[in-house]
Amino acid sequence: MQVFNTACPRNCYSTCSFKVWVDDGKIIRIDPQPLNLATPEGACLKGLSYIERAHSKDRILYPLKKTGNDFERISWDEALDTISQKLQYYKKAYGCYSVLFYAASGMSGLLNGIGTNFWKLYGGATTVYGNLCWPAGLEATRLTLGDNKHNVPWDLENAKLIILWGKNPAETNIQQMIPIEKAQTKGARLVVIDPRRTASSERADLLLQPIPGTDGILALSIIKILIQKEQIDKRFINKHVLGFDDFAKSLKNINIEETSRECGIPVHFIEKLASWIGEAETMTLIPGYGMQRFSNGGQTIRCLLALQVITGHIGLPGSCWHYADLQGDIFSQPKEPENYYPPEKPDGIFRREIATARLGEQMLSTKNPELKMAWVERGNPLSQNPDSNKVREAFRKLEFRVVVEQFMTDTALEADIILPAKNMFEQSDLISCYWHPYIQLKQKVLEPAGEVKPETEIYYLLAKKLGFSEDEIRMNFPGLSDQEIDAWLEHQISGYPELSLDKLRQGPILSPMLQEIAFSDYHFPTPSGMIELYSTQAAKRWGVNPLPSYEKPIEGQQGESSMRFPFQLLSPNTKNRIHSQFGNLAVIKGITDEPYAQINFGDAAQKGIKSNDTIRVFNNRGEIRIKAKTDASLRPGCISIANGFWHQEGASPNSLSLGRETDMGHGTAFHDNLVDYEKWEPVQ
Amino acid sequence: MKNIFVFDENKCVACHACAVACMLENGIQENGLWRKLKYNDQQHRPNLPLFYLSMACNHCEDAPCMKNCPALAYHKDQTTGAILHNADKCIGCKYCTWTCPFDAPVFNRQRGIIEKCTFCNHRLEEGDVPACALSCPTGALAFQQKEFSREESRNSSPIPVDVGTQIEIIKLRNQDPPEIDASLFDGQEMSYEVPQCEAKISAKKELPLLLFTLISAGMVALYISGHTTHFNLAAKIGFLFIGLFSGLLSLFHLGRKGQAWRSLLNIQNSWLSREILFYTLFYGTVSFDFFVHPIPWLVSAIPGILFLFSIDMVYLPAQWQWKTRVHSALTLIIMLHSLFLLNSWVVLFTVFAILRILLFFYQNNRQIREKFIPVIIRVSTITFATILIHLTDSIALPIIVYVVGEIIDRIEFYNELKTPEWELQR
Repeated sequence: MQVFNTACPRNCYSTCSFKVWVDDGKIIRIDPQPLNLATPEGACLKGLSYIERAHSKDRILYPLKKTGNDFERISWDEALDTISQKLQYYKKAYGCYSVLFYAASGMSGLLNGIGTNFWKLYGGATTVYGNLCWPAGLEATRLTLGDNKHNVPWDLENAKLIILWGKNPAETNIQQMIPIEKAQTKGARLVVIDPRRTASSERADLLLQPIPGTDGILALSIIKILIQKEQIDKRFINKHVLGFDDFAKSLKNINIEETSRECGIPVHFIEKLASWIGEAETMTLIPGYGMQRFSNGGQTIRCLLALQVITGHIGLPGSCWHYADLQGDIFSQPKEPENYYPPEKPDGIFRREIATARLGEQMLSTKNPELKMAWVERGNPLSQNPDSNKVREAFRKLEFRVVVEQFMTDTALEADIILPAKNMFEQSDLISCYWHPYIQLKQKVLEPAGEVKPETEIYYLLAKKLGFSEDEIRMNFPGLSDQEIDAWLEHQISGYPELSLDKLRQGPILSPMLQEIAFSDYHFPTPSGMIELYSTQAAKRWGVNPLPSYEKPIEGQQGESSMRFPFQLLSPNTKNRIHSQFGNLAVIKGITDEPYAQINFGDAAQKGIKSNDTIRVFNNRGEIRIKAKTDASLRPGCISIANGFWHQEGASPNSLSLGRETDMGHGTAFHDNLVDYEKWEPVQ
Repeated sequence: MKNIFVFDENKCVACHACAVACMLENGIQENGLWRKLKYNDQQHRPNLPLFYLSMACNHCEDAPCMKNCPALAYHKDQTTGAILHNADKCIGCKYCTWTCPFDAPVFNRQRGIIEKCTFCNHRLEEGDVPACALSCPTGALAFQQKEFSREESRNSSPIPVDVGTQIEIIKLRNQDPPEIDASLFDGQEMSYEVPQCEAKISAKKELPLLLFTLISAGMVALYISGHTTHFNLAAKIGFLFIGLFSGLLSLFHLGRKGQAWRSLLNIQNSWLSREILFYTLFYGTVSFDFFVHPIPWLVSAIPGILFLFSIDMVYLPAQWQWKTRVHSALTLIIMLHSLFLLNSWVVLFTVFAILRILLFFYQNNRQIREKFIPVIIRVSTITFATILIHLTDSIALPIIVYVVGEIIDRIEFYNELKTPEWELQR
């Protein structure tokens, strides 16, 4: 029996460190790794569930070929022969751009970059730009502060006012509840702003439940009150902020009564929050990522960030704008969100012209050449990209699909060839995190199960089949042995004497670039060197107001389309999944219900719906049938269905969402999503 | 020093890592989790705080499951304090699921036996910590070795029992719900329901037991009434056949019928064992009386009364929230009332009928509206039977009417039984 330090490579704030016990080729136990100060008590339920997941009987262990409606096991030789013949054929007949290379966030790690090397070597491919998750907020923050970073997670206990604005860490960043609780024992106030009453809000002092998509005007209204009451940090503003006067002037039409009507928050609650913010000694504002998945997401985040800026709560212990911390990402160049942009000038190799937000629509409409083949890895676009009916149509229209997967996801089911994907224990890799600033080594602790091969090896073998020269292969791929992989990883951190694989094997290491209190040097890498409330870049690049401003979401309850479909569909994440992963495991099934839609008692009563009734949720893009659960937690007029359920389970909310980009950053406006619903009675 | 769980209500966010850790350590629990998250209000009523309780077995010093198990399937590990359940000895009677204040024992339908939290005794024995406590990512659930007095235990217990519960609960600092705009939820009050967790005991689920207890009350009454002394052979055989048949009925609810003999093993502590002992003595002595040699009626009457008393005691743990433990449908009361009827003691029957109606109303006063039909039947049958007994000499008709009323009352008795996890769900 051996114990290894490792870290969870999922697309999740917490990126937990843990110790994994391996006995006779099996993961038998997962223990906390207290050396990580952000996750000292250990991983969440999903992290623990690797004990099952690593050896799940449902895992895909061999290459599979579709035969009719089923899959049959084939040899690696046959799989790679078929794929390489297809690749050669499409390149010759239609050009490299007829192949779509789609990779998402299923597993993080530097070795993922090898895929890009392969497709460049192939001669290019069509890829996607943008991101499904967080770019609007990243871009809003980058435009304003110049960089995406925040104080170390454990500094949160020093805050006297914590505002969770559209974030539900109790489910999506569980360990953040540790410093929040500590801060509360020291007398901090906790405010939650969320249309849902979540587990994160149960210990809060105040919960505001705004109409989704209207957060921007709520922030502006509070800012106006603070300016009027002179509860702003003038010294800080004069020294570090660009465009404050213009911004203050732009608020002249903001009126608290109108705000109250627009966002559905009573005036006295807005005033109460404003007075708490005005009084706060230190304040940490923690926006979630859901709120920026609206067509006005970037501008909304700029409004919220303005609140943090004018009160001067930046660069101090207990005070920060807590959106994302990319200080641990010492590897990417350029960093997010800039690497989400399509290249201004095509590099002649990658044709990056499909927005991941509009994947289905653009896969269908792409011409010269049309798409013929897709290669999907680390992603499940058939459940997770918006307007998934269109995504499915686009995949079915292709001639040939390869999916690299661990499990039979919705996307894998559409494949012509499935290649078995490695799990996190079967290859070492380096990972960083966007919440805590640790660099971590995700160690190889198991030999790949069955005939599983890591993607690096798949690409290596495919390159050989395609007849690339030894030199090209050596330059682009790390080689197959563990030693070669380690050497490749060691090379990535060779610029940092603090880091080495040996040290990382002992546990997580703080980023060498770390500033524990972000912006404590008051260095803001914006064009002006100041915090830019007024951003020329914002106007130029994105065509938005150069100042933070409230725009109605295109498809929101306060807009015209709400006449046809009056309910706002929210599709949040839950503790039981990371997007569409983990839901298939027995331990997760052991604690979760089947898919359900959460609706408010009052709304349900009006439609004659009771808890556990089946309802039909629909709009002009699709429909799903799903069980209803009623309670008094969700704001009336909203309906909430957790994302991540598979279509196989009958309930991916992305059947209803539209492929639409956010106002900035090439994000995805999932929550601009109006629907209606009714009780569904099966026809006898 | 004791091994205890420590649970901090301020830190728990119901993330379920504890429940998952338990399954990964002890196996998938399809019939019910060993460690469950309890919510005080699933409906998020605007004026109520919502908090969570992570509950498994609390390894009580005076564990009610162990004390009440008729088959001696439980034992305590003297070193670690863990209350352990032995599958081989279990008869699947589920009585421990009624007596445990914390809903810890889980009935496995496939295996026909109980399973429960072991305190991860295999880990404790090696100086390790239970999987749930080690894995809590917020530090809300912990395991400690410390002095923990009976008083501290009593004060910490999530429901008011004094059985040496080995869990320390750190209560909420702030009991207030978040301040919210409650007007959003105006007019929804009618949708709020008393949380309905699935009742473990109900007349429907326990039909064999319901019949068994009613028949038992009737048989004891019939015997004590003296009517059996005039029985011919056929009637005697019939009497014993019904007694035996009702006994077999009660076996139906056992998960492992072949192990039924084990139910006699805990005479010392378990009313369930005593019930079966006195059942055997009652019918044994009656058989002797009928077929071998007449014996004084008290020799059978005393075990008969003790048999019914034991039945009534068995249900005591599921009556904890009742206003009065004296229910109008206790088997002893039914037996006495039947006795008055069988012997045509009209005055006693009438007085008893009035008392029972009053008691019935007293117990049902909150649910009269919901239980309109049972209430009507109950009251009218007992009234009608009383009138009939005054009007006619024959007792056949009054008996029929009376029996219908007793069935209704006993059905209500079962439906009103509630195991203690109801309190935890509230």
